[in-house]
Amino acid sequence: MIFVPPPHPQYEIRYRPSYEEVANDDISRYYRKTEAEMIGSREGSDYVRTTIAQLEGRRKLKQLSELRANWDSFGSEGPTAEAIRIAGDFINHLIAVGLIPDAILPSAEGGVAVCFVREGKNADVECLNSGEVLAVRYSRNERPHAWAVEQSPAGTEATVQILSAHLSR
Amino acid sequence: MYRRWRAVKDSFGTNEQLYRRFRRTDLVNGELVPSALKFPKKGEATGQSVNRSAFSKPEDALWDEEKRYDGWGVFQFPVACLPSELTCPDTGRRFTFFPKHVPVRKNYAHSEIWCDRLPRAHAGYVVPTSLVKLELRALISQNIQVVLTAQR
Repeated sequence: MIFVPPPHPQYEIRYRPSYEEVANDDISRYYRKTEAEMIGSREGSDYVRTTIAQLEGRRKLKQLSELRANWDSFGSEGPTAEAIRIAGDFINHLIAVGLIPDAILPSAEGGVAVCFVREGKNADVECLNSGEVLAVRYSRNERPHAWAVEQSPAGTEATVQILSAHLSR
Repeated sequence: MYRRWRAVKDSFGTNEQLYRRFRRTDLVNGELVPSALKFPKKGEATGQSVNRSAFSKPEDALWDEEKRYDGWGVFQFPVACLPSELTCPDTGRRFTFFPKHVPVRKNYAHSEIWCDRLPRAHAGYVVPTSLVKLELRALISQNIQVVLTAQR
């Protein structure tokens, strides 16, 4: 017996009117207020913010794992699985203490870069394919200072503290 | 752009700018991050490629016969920001950075950022330590100005 799947519906919902178009002014006002409260609540919730940051971090790392060599036209390598794993652990640690990265990018040096760019204060943690983890911090009027991150819970914690102090100063 | 008969000019003006291409995704909150800048590897014996402003315009950094870089952006940074001395915080080794005019057949403005150890060895490109590389990349990032906005 040959199973034939049911045909797709012939119609498609292409347009969903917003509440502004179907409700009267009073109801629209009420919806707007509720919507603003929901957005405010989401932004204000550490749990939701953290969860979104973690999901976004995982999505970005997955994307980086698919990069091919010469992705930047200057011959850079894509990040290795090990560099991605180390970066993932580091990112989770940062997010857990409320330091949400501004960007997770491939490093032209080969590896993953976790970047912070905040009101004239910058910091980068680079998890390189070589196995090294390096960090740098600088601000507009301050010369960059780089250091090697010791790969241990204490080493990670020390770097997180330095970054936190630098970015919140 | 073509070199033709022109000779190498090793002196760079103090106000001279160096151009390099970038992609839109290299920008974070409008700033180019250090991770976007690649260093040569050990054994490559060449510095980071740039175009010097004395012999080119920003858009020349995107020139390619196959138009592969259409839509990319170009940033500039001053020659003066290259440090004459950087000390590795880990090993204590000292390095110096300087621009070098390395014209190629189809790009007379092509130059490279070179590194030597201190005291100078004058024995080819010296690959600095990872920490010095990162500090230099951050120093360049601090001095970058976008002159052509990236569309992609």
